[in-house]
Amino acid sequence: MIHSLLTKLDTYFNFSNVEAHCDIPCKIYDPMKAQLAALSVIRFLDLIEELNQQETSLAQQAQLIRLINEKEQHAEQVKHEVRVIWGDYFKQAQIAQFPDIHTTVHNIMLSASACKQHTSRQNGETLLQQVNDFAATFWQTKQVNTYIATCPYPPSEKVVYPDLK
Amino acid sequence: MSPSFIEGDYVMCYRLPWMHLKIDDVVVLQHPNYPLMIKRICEINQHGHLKITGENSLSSQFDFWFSPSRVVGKVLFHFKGQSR
Repeated sequence: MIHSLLTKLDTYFNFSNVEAHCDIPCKIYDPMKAQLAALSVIRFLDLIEELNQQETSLAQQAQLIRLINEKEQHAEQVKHEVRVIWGDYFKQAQIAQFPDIHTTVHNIMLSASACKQHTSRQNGETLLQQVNDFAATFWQTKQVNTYIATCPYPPSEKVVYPDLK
Repeated sequence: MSPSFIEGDYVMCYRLPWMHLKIDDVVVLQHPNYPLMIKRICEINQHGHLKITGENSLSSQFDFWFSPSRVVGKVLFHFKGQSR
């Protein structure tokens, strides 16, 4: 809502533009976007399974299509976010420190694709675990401690969070 | 790159004459050769000049010191676009 309001104000006041995501490193990276997308994939898998246990009405078919579309998009977002951090943030120093990072990232790509292809919750859980591992590695490169907590919203799965206190 | 700030986001920044800038602050600054940029401060030298890139730089063109006078403001709020 705030963004919509700002958009309207922008058309009237013509706010200054600021370049942020150029190909010039700004050093602003965070694996949380990938983790949230992985959580969303699990959530959509759960909702799809709920539909599977009901009689199929036209409205439910429409809902199923929406859920599948969102699952596809969020699985793709996981791949995108992880690829960007792996490709842009990880340099020789970090790769030397964590030589398994290539395998970790490749496994995430495979798991995200599996989530797109199938409706098994297990695939989503595997994807989240791998993305959590990736996040833990990312924060280790920054000497930031992490902790594991259950996210306070569905699908209530374990997530690796940075301890920034 | 895919930083936290993407096209369509809004940021609110402020600048006060006595404002204290520190490492990890996200600031809007006027680059001499580029448009207004939003970057994170990674170093501050003894003269109070700011560096906005570091060991992970892909490019050297931003790898120099800025006078604090080039800082238009420090980012206070970040309003993300609705497409997220």
